[in-house]
Amino acid sequence: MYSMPDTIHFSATEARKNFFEILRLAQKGNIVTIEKKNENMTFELQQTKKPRKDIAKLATEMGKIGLKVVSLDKMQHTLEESHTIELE
Amino acid sequence: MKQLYFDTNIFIYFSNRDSTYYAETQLLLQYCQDNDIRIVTSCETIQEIIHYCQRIKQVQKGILMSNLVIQTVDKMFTVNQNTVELYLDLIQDFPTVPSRDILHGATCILNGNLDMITYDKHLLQLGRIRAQKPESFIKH
Repeated sequence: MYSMPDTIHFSATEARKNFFEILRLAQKGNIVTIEKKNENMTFELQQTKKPRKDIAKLATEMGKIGLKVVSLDKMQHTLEESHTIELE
Repeated sequence: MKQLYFDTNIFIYFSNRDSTYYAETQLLLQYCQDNDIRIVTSCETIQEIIHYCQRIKQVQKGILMSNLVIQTVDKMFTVNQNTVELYLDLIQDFPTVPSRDILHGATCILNGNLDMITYDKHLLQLGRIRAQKPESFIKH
């Protein structure tokens, strides 16, 4: 294994033995490459962060919809009836 | 990263600023955002939102709401064979509990025994499922 400032290389065998170490390094912001020499392939692993959702904005949008809201008991009854097969 | 499962009724109460539980559910959302808690639910929730909206004759609003739910949640669990098998086991143990509740419960158990937020009285009383109202979840 050799390393450059932010890229760390593993052979496929090393990667197999150090899987969790690879995840830890990627999580710390390093780019990890795994080279499978006999097939001339390099896999690159780096952390990507999902953009954080703006929950407050989505909540405001939901509040604007204005669905008719019934009492808890009535809502429960309505939701439960979706699974009710009425027999004649 | 903690995940929190929202039942259908929670989303429905988000959708009307005049509803009794609107403020409480908004507080819950804020709490989740502040504490980096991921909101999850099941595709069953969408089915139930649409069903509810068909009953109140507001299908278009239901579709709009469902699209916002999809954007809000980090994960939407599908009902697969494992879910159905656990659902059938639970139905054996709780034959009088409404079917929908058991399906939501099975989804929570199968995906890491998730905490569920709901106002549903059956779910709140069901020992196998860690269900709470928004207020009590925030207090803990």
